Amino acid sequence: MKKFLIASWRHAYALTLVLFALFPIYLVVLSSFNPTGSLQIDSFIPREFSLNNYESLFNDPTIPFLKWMQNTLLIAAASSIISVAIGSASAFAFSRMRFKGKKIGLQTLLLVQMFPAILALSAIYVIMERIYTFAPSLGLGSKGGLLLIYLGGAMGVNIWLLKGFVDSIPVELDEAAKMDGASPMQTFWLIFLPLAAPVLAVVALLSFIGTFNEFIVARLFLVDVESRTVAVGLQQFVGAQYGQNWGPFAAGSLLASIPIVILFLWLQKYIINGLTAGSTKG
Amino acid sequence: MLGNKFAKATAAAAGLALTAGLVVAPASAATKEIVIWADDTRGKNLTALFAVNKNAAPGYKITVKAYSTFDALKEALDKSTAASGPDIIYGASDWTAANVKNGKFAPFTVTAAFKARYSKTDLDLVSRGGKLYGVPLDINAPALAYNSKLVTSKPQTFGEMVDFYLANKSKYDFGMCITDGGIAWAGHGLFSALGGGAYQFKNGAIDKTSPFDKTALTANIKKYILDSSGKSNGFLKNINGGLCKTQFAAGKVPFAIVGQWEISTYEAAKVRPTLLGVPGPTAGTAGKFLGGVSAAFLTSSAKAHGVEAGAKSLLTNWIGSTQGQLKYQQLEKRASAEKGAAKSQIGSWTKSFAQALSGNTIPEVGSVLGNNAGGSSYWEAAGNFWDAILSGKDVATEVDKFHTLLKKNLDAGAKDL
Amino acid sequence: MIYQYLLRFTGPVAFVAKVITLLIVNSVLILLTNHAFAADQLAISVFLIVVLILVNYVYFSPKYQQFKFLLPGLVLLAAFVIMPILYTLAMSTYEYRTGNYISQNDAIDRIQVSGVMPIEEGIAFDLVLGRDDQDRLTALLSDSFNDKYFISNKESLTQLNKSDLEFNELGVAVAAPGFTRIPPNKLSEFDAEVIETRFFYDGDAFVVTEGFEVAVVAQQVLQYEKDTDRFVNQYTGEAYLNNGKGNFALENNPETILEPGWRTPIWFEHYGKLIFDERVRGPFITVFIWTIIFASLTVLTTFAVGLVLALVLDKPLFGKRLYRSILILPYAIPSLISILVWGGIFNRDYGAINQLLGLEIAWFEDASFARFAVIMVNLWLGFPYFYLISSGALQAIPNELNEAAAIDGANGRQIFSKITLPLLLQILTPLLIASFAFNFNNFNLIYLLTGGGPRDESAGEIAGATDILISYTYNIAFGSYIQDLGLASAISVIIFFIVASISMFGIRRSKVLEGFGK
Repeated sequence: MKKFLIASWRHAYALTLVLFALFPIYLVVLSSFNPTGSLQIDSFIPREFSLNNYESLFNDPTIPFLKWMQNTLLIAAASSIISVAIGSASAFAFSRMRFKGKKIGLQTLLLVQMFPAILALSAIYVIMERIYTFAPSLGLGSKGGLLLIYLGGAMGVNIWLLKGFVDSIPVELDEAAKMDGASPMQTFWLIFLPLAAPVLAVVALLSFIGTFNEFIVARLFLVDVESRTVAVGLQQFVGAQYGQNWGPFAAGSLLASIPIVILFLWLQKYIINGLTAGSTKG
Repeated sequence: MLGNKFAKATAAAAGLALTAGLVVAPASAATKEIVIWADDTRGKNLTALFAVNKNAAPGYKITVKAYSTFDALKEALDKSTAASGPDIIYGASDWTAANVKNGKFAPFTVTAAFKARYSKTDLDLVSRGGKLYGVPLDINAPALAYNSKLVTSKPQTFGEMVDFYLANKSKYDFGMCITDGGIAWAGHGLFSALGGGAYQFKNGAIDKTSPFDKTALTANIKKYILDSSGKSNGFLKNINGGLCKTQFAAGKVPFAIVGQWEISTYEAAKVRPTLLGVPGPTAGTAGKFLGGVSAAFLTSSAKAHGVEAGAKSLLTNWIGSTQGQLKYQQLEKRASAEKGAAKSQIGSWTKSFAQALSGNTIPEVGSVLGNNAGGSSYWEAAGNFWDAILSGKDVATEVDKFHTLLKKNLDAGAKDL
Repeated sequence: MIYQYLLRFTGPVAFVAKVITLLIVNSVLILLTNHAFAADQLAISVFLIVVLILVNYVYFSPKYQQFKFLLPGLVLLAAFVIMPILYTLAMSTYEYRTGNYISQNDAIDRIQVSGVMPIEEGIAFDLVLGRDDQDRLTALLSDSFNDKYFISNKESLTQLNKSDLEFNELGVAVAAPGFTRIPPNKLSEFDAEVIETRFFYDGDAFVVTEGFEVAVVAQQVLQYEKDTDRFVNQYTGEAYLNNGKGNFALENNPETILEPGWRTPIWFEHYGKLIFDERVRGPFITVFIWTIIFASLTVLTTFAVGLVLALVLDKPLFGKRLYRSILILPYAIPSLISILVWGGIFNRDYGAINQLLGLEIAWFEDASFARFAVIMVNLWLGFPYFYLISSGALQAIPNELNEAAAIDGANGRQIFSKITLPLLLQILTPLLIASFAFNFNNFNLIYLLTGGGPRDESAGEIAGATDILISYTYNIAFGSYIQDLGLASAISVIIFFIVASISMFGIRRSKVLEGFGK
């Protein structure tokens, strides 16, 4: 009896949180099928059902949703893969190599990412503008420029996150390699990378989501309707000058979230391990 | 050992690359390009506008960049410098002051014949220190509409509207709301009808003594907006614009302050909105809406990019011409600021809009409305004021507070005209 | 086995691969440097040259192995993180706000341009541009109204006989002896020259073009005098002096200034204001306090809910996997989307919360409600993260500890409060602090949900009830009316010191833990 009580108490707690977690998600699903384009609900059971909102995403030339998805995928994937590649190399050096200034380097790295980057926007804009004068495809208003900014911004966080993971890989393996006469570069490529692959995938995923969410810089860089990212496009639906358009927003949000959620559920074991590795090994 | 070999190889590689680099000289842009920035809606129409007249700027390529939202457009302008900015930007007249102060807009001179095609008020809105910075495009003001299926006779006074609502209270959600533009901007007509105002206009100039008469406003709010217990009588409601539009189109609200660009919604819903200014407490008086213009501004980037002469030609010869304005209004569906285009205004809706507004607007003076010497600007504070009134706070205190703030802004803003 | 793998990555193949990669990197860098140099971007070309040298040195010298791993990251950090930080530091010592935005040279340039005034008579011409027989840029000017026609270049003005001219259908002269017209579609090539040229008119007065079709007679009314660093009105003699605050101000009435002004160093004035000026300090402190409360409450609530959930799901339970999959959804969905949706849910008029509960609360217009909403939304966003790491940490606690305690007669609650919780806290402290630091600067949440509001603006408040330091700073720097980048930069620097101290505290704590992890 006591056991049953405890179990039902546990179910009650979990269920409450499930309701809490699902509430906004259910609303989005509901309004994505609601033809009136509002986020209004008067009942939990849908009264009207239409695919208008989804249709507009694919047929309305002013909402090139597929193009937005493509842009987001391209930029976020490139930024997460490159930043994890560069970040893991740095993390490896910080974790496994001995050199002068390592401690100060690590602390500086931690500190610079604490700087509120919002104001740095003005500075970054100036730098990008200058790059534009001689290399337009890497400067202001280009995907390349945006990618550079994201890479720079992701560096600090990723190195720290990855260092936690590298620390959690047993040091014995690379010591064996060292004994066999391997250089650090060889250890990195042949021992470390294969071992860390799942963890790198997790960091890449988290970094992907981070880039996905970014719209403050993206809306200044990717201006034309064809070149926008999903985040800029979605924000535009509800932050427009004249009125809010929840219908396409909800439909677009759902479509954009589904691949990420699937990846997340698929990688959840690694995510849990990864996050904890970072914590328990500080 | 290997290190030495590597070093030699590098030297060779670097040398090779260096020569390669020197040979490839940076290419310079061949065709001159005039870059125009706008927000999403206008951007689409502009692309169409320039497609109509390929000879608008012979020898130049015209590129339109449309930002996702009006905010994003303004933010991009703020962050841009002469090197990266647009050559021409489509914005609101209240951008003039700040951007002249920041050296972003550039002045140009037009002929007397050009000036004669625009009203002096509109030109003043895009001028500063006697210099013109933009071409006025369309009049940006809302008007009051009533659903003529529900309200059979045109209300002559504010009291008639309130009485109509109170008599039919059960049929309606509430009496009046604002479909778009917000209670600060679109609501100014209502505010002014009740005796308020961000500033008053006397003899063609801003009255610098006081923004409004506190006693009159307090009395009118108590009489028309509140019930005997000091709570809202339900006539006015400050709700989300989109919702107001739906409710008005559905016949659940008899009166609404509407925008010119909403005609398609009401046509679809088959309501017949009749337009007018907001009637005042006595017949024959009406509240004043804030009338701004949207404008195409010349920027100082045009000079930096070496296209200033072309941009000036484009502004005066096509964008500001009767033909260009007419074509633009067909796409943008708002009352034109250019007299020639306004005369041949198409559509009864736009015509009745112009009628309703005639005499019922005051110029939207950015340097006073945006001034925040009192701590915040009229734009930011008006919503708070109305929320306080409608939630039943003491009217006299709120009116007093608002008056003090607006007076400070007026004093500081008047120096900045 | 391992050694065999290694064999593959040494020797001539690896060497050639390396040289080729570096060759490509070198060419790209040199090309960019070259272009940057050609475009007069000196600072950037120097930066690129330094990178070029470092790349070759690091990857070809056997010394400094660590930099082979660190260099790409360091270069990106230097360019896009360190540089902007230094720039912000510099900005914080400047008067840099609306009205004082551009450099002094640019400002002088702009004033000089707006100092050109059309003469009082307002003479305007129809303009046709061309070259004379000496290839000078020449203006053919038609004053059809007075039936007068001129030809003008930089040096001289000549009146023409109507009979010598050819006209178009509008009565504008298009051809004259010795004048070769530039075809309209070729004019664009001479745009800058046309703008720069002042065609001679009469004494001080000159003809300037306004586009390619119109020209007006004007005078340089305001003239800059370099030696004395001032503008002088050539006709009234009024002088505008450099007031040292980034403006030229009228000598006898310093209130009257010329526009635009320029950004100018004021050293530590912004920092001074933050400490001594009540109007600046007051809102800063209010916002600061709320920022601390917001970040602490967020960490506390998300951690508490997440931890209890981890405990609840720690032991076998029916449907555990399903629970977990659903409960990490808020963490998986991009937060931009969730925050915008929550913004809609809390809307007074159509928001789901008011609709379902039959309320009419203006959530974002009342300080307490808005703050509650912000914390609620952040709880939704954050509890799955703490659930995930708590459940991971629970598994990391050796089971023997609990068993030993149980043998010693401790009950479940005692084991939890005396053993599990302290251990958990010890493991998770660095992450709790990291979460605090993250929420301290959680810009997206505030910006998208409440915009920092509500503000009692009619009482003149600058800071909103839910404004945290970073959204407050953003508003000052990029807000609607006066944009004060200088002050905002100073606030950023101060925020940095606060967050940095908190994090340093966190680092020290984590050092204590180093022993435990191993």
